[in-house]
Amino acid sequence: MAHSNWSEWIYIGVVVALLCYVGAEAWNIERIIDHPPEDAEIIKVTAQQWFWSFEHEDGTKEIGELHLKKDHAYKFELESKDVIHNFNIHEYTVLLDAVPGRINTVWFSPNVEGEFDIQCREYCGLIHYNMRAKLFVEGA
Amino acid sequence: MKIYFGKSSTNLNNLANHVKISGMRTIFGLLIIIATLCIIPTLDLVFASETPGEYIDRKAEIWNLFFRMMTIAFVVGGIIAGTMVWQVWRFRESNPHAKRTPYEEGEL
Repeated sequence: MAHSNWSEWIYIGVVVALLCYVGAEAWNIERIIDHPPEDAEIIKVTAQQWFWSFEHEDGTKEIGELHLKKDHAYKFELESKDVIHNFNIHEYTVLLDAVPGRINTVWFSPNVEGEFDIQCREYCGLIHYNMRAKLFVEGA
Repeated sequence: MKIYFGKSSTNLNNLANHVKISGMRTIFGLLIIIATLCIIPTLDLVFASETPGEYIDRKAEIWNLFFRMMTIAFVVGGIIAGTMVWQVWRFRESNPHAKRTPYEEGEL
């Protein structure tokens, strides 16, 4: 079949190149976000109907509120005691499921002082709407 | 009468040769582009410094990624939609440049 198909190759090339860029970039950002710094403080987060409890590395426990220092890295280890919950700090784009029988991890570093909402983002029963906690970010 | 996509081995050979000659350079070019797009972000990650106290801004990273992805999505969508519009316009029956296909001529 004697016809030129260079334009089709360019078309395919542009689309494939863009999709490759999308894949590479998303993979890269996901890796950076998923990789917690070595000096991150581990905080155990326990979800249960219908409240959040937190345990710091030094053994300090908090229920319904969490106090963190600004510009420190924190790694959350999430577990659930009953059903699936979802740990969400909207202001810091932290969002992860808490699943019974397994520990999920997510990390972040608060860079703004203030008071922020923590809430459950997975329907978990009657009082799901009120399964909230407060995050207090304090100066270092 | 010409058979464009018949079982004729000669025609298939011609097609294969044509693709080999004109397509190979393009394929190499594309591979270089793809390799560059994949390798550069990896190198950035490998050589990224991890100074204690200087952490990534998760919120900024995620939203920047989202906006970049949306830009690409609209560009790809634009290319595909634009191509379809162009094809419909170019190959409409009433286009002065339209040629009847062998099928329409009743040759096939």
